[in-house]
Amino acid sequence: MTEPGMNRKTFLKQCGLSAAAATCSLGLAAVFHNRRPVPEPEEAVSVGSFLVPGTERLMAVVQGTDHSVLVRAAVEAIGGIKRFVNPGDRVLLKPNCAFDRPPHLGATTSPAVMGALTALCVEAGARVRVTDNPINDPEGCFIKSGLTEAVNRNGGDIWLPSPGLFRTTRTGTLCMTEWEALYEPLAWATRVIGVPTVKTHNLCGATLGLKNWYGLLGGPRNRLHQSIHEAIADLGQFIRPTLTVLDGTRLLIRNGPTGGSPSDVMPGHTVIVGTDPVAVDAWGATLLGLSPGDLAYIGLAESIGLGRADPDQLSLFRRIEAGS
Amino acid sequence: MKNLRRIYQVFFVLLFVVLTWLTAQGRLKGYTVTLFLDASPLNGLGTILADGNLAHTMWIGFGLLALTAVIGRFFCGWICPLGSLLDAASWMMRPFRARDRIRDNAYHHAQAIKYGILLALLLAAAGGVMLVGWLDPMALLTRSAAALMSPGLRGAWPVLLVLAAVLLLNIIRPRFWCRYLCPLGALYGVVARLSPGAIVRRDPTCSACPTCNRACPAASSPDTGTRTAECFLCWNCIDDCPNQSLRYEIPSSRGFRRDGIGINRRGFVAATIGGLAIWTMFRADGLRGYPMRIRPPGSLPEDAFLDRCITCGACMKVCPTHVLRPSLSESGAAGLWTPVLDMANGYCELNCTLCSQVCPTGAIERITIARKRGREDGEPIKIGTAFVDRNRCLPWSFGRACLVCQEVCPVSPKAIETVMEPGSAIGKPVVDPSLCIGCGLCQHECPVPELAAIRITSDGESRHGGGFYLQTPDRRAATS
Repeated sequence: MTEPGMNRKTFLKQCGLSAAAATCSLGLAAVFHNRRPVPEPEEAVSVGSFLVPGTERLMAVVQGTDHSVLVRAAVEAIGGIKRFVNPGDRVLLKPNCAFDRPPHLGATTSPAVMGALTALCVEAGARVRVTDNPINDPEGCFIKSGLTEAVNRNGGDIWLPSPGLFRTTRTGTLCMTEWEALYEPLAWATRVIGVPTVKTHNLCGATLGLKNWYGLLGGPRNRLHQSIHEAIADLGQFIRPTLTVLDGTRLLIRNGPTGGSPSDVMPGHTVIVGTDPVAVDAWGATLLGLSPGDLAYIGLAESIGLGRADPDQLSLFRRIEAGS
Repeated sequence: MKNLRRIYQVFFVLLFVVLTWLTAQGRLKGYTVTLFLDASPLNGLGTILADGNLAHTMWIGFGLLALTAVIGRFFCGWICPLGSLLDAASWMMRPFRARDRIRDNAYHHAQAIKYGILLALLLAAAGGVMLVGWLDPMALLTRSAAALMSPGLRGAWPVLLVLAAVLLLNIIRPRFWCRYLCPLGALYGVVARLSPGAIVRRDPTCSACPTCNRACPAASSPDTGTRTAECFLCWNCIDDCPNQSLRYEIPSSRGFRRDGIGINRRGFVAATIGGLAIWTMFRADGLRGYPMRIRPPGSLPEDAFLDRCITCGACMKVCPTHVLRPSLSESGAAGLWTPVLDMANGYCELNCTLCSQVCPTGAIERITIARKRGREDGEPIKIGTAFVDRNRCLPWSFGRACLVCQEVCPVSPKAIETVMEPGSAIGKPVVDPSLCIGCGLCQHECPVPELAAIRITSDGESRHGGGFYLQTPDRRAATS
C-alpha cells in the first residue's frame, strides 16, 4: 500500500495537475459566464413563390366520369405539364389528407387524382414527394386514404411530418405573422402543387385550395379558427404554389370537413387546375352550390392582391368535357 | 488551528443566517444574498451542462474549486454551513467515548457512493434533466431556510423532511451526509485529490496510537495516510496528535499514499447507468403543460427554466406576499420544488421584481418594473390568465352583488369588466384576457372560500409567446 515518497518528478506532476485543474475551473467560469442570458427566439424563415413566371393567370375546369384522365386533360388545357415541371425538378404535392378516412368518404383527396398527378410529374422527369400534417395520425391518414398506395405505385414518396421538419415561418399579415410550419419539405422543393379536395366546412363554409395549406402548419393551429377567414387569406401569402389541382371528382356536401358517411358524398366528376389560387377557389365554391361571395376569405384574398375571383378575367380559362 | 476553523464555521453559519434575513423586501439593497449558492460549483456545473450558461455571480464557486485544486477540500470543513450544522448534530447524536469515536470515524468504502451520485447528476444534467439542486447542500439549506421562515407555506413540508433526514442520518455516523451522499463534497473531493498539499503522517515520531482517527469528521484515515479526496482539512488530527506526527505539507516523506476516490469500474458503470436512468425517467414525464404551473414573472421558457432552476427557494424567501411556493405536482416530476405561484397564499405584487433579483442562476431573468409593466417596449409580462368560474361566482350564480375581483384588479384599464344583463341590477365580472396579466390578486381576494370563483391558470403566459387566443395587432385598441 505504501508508495515511496515524492521525488521531484511526482512533485512536478502533482503541481502540474493541480494547476491544470485550477485553470480548467476558472476557464469554465470565464467561458460560460453569462454566455446565454436569455435563449434567443428562432429567426423566422420565408417561403418563396413557386409560381413559374409567365403562367400567372391560367385556369381549366374539366369534367368527366373517368377520373383518371381528368388531371392530364386539365393540365394539357393550360399548356401541359412541361410548362410547369422541368426534368430534375423536385415536386412537392400537398393533398388534403387531414383525416384517417377511406377514400370513398370524400374527406381526403382521391387516390385517382393523386395517382394521376404523381404519374404526370414523374413522366416530366421530376422527383415527387407528398406531405401533409393531418389532424389524425399522419401515417394512418396516408395509408387509409389510399394515398400511400396511389403515390408509391406511380413513383412518388410519402414524406411524413416529424418535429425536426418544422420551422418558425413568416406566414402572413392579417392574423398570423409568424407560425410553426412544415418548412423543410418546402425548402427541398423546387415546385409545389396543392391538391385539395372539395368539402363543406362547419366554420368557414367550404374548404378548398387556400384552406388546404393549413395542413402545412404546426403549432397551436386550433387558435386560427378564431379568425378563420383572415387565417386562410394569410395562407395565400405564406405560399404561392406552382399549381392548384382541385379534386372535385366527389364532393363532401354535408357534415364537413370530416364527413363519415357515404351519404355525405356526392359525385362531382370535376377537376380544376389553375395558377391563381383565388380563382380556383371561387370556381370550386360553385361546385358546392355556393357563390364566391359566400366565402369571406375570397374577398379578403382579393383585397390583398392574391388573385382574382372572376374567372373571365383570366388569360386562359377553359371548360372541357373529357372522356365519356 | 482547529479553534480558528471553528470561528470560521460559526462566522459562515451566521453569514448564512444574515444573508437569508436580508433576502426580504425592504432589506434587499443590492447585496449578493446568494453567496452560498454561488459558492457551489455543482450548481454552476449543472447549469453549464444543461443550459450552457453560468449566470451572475456563480463564478465564485469555480474560484473556490480552483483553490481546492491547490490546497484541498477546505470548503467542507471551514465554510459549508450545512457541514457545520451536521458537526453540531453529530456532537449531539454520537457517543463521546474514544473507542466508539474511533470506530465511528474509520473510513468506509461506501463513502464512494457520493462520487456515483455526482456522476449520475451531471450526466442527467448534460442530457437536459437538471436535478443537481435537489441534492446540492447549499440549495438544500437555502430552500429549507425559505420553508422555515415562511410559515404556512403550502408544499414546504417535504423540503423540511429532507433537511430532517439529513440531520438525523448523523445517528448512524457523524457527518453521514458529507461522507456518503453529498455531491458537492464529491466534486470538491475529486479536485482536492490533485492538490500538491495534504495532511501527512511522519513515521519516525508516530506511536501508532489512534488519536488522529478519533476526531476525524471526514473519516479520511489520517492514521494510515490521509485520503485527500475525503479530508476536510479541519486540522483536528494535527492539533490532537500527542507526538506532532501529522502536518499539512507537500508530501516528501515515506508513508504517504495518494488514494483514489474509492470508486471502481463497476461503480463507475453503475453511476453512468443511474444517470441514464434518471434522464430516461424524467424525459418520460408528460406533465410539462400543466395549467397550475404558474411561474414567477421573468421566468425563462419552461425547458430553459428547468435547465437552470436549482430549486434553492431564494425567490420563495424574498416574495413579499409568499405567493411562491415549492411545486409538488404542478410542474411534473423534474419540476419538483421549482417555484410556482399559489394564489391561496398570496398574489404577484404589481410593482415588485424581487424574485428576479435574487435568482442565482437566471432561471428567473433579472427584470425591471418597467419591463414587467410593459413600459419599456412591448407588452407587460403576463404570467397567466384569470378565468371566472360562473358556477361559483356570486353575481353569476346567485345574483348577489360582489365585484371584489373587479375592484382589486391592479392594471389600468382594468382587465375585469362589469357586464349588466338586461333586467338585472347586479354587475357581473368578465375577464379581458388581452389585459389580464395573471397576477392573481382577484383570486386571492375572491370571497368564495377555498376554491375561488375566479382563478388563474398559466394560459397565455408571455414567456411562451402568448395565449390561447389568436393575437391580432389591433387587439388592445379594440378592447379599450
